[in-house]
Amino acid sequence: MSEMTELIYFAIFYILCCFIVIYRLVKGPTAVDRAVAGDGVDVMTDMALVLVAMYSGRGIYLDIAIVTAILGFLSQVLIGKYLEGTL
Amino acid sequence: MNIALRIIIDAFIVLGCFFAFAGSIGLVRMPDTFSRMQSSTNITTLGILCTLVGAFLYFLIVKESWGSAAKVAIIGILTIIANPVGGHAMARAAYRIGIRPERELVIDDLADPEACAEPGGESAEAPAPEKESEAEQE
Repeated sequence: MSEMTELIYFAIFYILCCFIVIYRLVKGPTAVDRAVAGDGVDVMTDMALVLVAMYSGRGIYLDIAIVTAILGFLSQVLIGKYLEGTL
Repeated sequence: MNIALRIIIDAFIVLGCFFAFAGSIGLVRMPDTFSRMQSSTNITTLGILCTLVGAFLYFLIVKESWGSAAKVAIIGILTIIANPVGGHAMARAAYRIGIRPERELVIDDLADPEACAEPGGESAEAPAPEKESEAEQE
C-alpha cells in the first residue's frame, strides 16, 4: 500500500468513463461503432489496472494490463478484417 | 516522498483522466461513425500516454522498481505501435461495408478499387459491393 491514496479515485474515474462508453457500445447503430467503443472500454480498463497496480503495490496487475492491451489490438484488427470480408 | 514529484505525477494522471473523459463524451455525442472513431483515438493516444508517463515516473523514481517501469514502458510502446494499425483497419472496414460520413468527401481514394488493394491478394479485381454481400452471407 503506497502513500498516494488518491490513485484509487483516478481508477474509479476511469471505470466511470467506461460506463459512459458502454452506452455507445449498447446503442451504436453499426458494428464499427460497437467495435470502437469496445476498444475504448478495453483501453480504459488497462489504465484502471495500471493505477490499481500503483495503489496496491502489486506488479501482477501490470502483467494483466499488458495481456489486455495485446488482446485489444488483435481483436480490433481481426474485427476490421472480418467486417471487410478479407479474413 | 518528495512533494514536488508527487504533484508532477498527479498532474500527468489528471491530464490523462481529462483526455479520457473528453474522448468518452465525444464517443457518445459525435454525429457519425468516423467522427466517433476520431474521438476514440483521443482516449487511446493522449489519455493513455499521459497516464503511463505518470505511472512510469512513479515506478522508476518513487518505487525504484525497474521491472514494473519496464512493463509500463512496454504497454506504452505497444499502444503507440498498435493504435494506428487498428484504427486504419477499422476505418477501412467501415468504408468497405458502406458507411459514409455525413458531409461529402473531398478526396475519396478508396473509391478506386485498385488504389488500396491487398498486396498479393485477389481483392484488386473484386469491387466493394461484392465484399459487402460476402460479409452479409457470413
